[in-house]
Amino acid sequence: MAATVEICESNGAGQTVTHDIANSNMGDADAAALDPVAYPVTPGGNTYEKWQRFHVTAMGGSSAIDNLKVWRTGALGGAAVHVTNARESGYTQASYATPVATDSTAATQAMPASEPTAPNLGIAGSLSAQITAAGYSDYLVHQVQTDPGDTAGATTTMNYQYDETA
Amino acid sequence: MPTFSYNGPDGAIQAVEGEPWFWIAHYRDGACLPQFCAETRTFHRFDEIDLGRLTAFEVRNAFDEARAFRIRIAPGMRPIFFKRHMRLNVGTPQEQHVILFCFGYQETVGGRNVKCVLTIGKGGAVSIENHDGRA
Repeated sequence: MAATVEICESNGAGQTVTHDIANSNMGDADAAALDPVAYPVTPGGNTYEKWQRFHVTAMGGSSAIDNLKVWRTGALGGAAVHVTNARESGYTQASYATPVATDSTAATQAMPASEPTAPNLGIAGSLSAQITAAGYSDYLVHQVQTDPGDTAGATTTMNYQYDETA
Repeated sequence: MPTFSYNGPDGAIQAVEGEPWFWIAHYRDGACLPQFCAETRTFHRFDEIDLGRLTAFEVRNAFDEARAFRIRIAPGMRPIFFKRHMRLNVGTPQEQHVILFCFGYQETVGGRNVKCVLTIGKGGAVSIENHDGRA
């Protein structure tokens, strides 16, 4: 078998990890796979931050996982912005902190709206590092920040990519 | 897909499932090292390739031997082979897990790392590019 890789999300103080998340729904709750209808964001407010990681549960004979990329697709609508700590240069590793709905201090750059040309999420603090045994990437932190004039219904979807060398 | 055994560096033997596309390293002395050896049922990692003896790098379809690409490896050229996993539109009805097989070669020309990369996508379509989306 090939390497087994899942996306995990951490929530709460001290982090409760949800493995192999079903979705990256964001809203007014610090929870994995939340129902955005049940936890809507008031225009002008923020979603709770998402703290997510690539998790290699088994290498399956492969030698390396690397070149991690994340980006969004879809129209955000209004003046909302999707911010993240992912970046192709000037990257620094984020240390876990309880997700907040105030303006994120970790996610301060616009989430790319198309596939980045180079990795934008690191491993052990480096964009060029590799995962060579079961383990985690750095944290991907992201948040949607809305404007009072925004209307409900706009969507943005997440895309996750990695390379596997057997 | 058939299963092969991998004798890891730690001595542990693990099962590795075959892939629809795999590489074969051809050496100057006529020997070859396949990623998945049908005779011995063993799996070999990319980093087991002896670059100093390499004369050609082939990528072949597991279901149709005629569908194969062979790259002549001149001195200084280094083969490329990896799988690109794309989880697109996660959590939506349009969610897809796309796997691309990427291979080719790179070499240093005039101090620059020059790449030629072929990508086999869904349905077998092949694209050729001078970069591989890596830093």
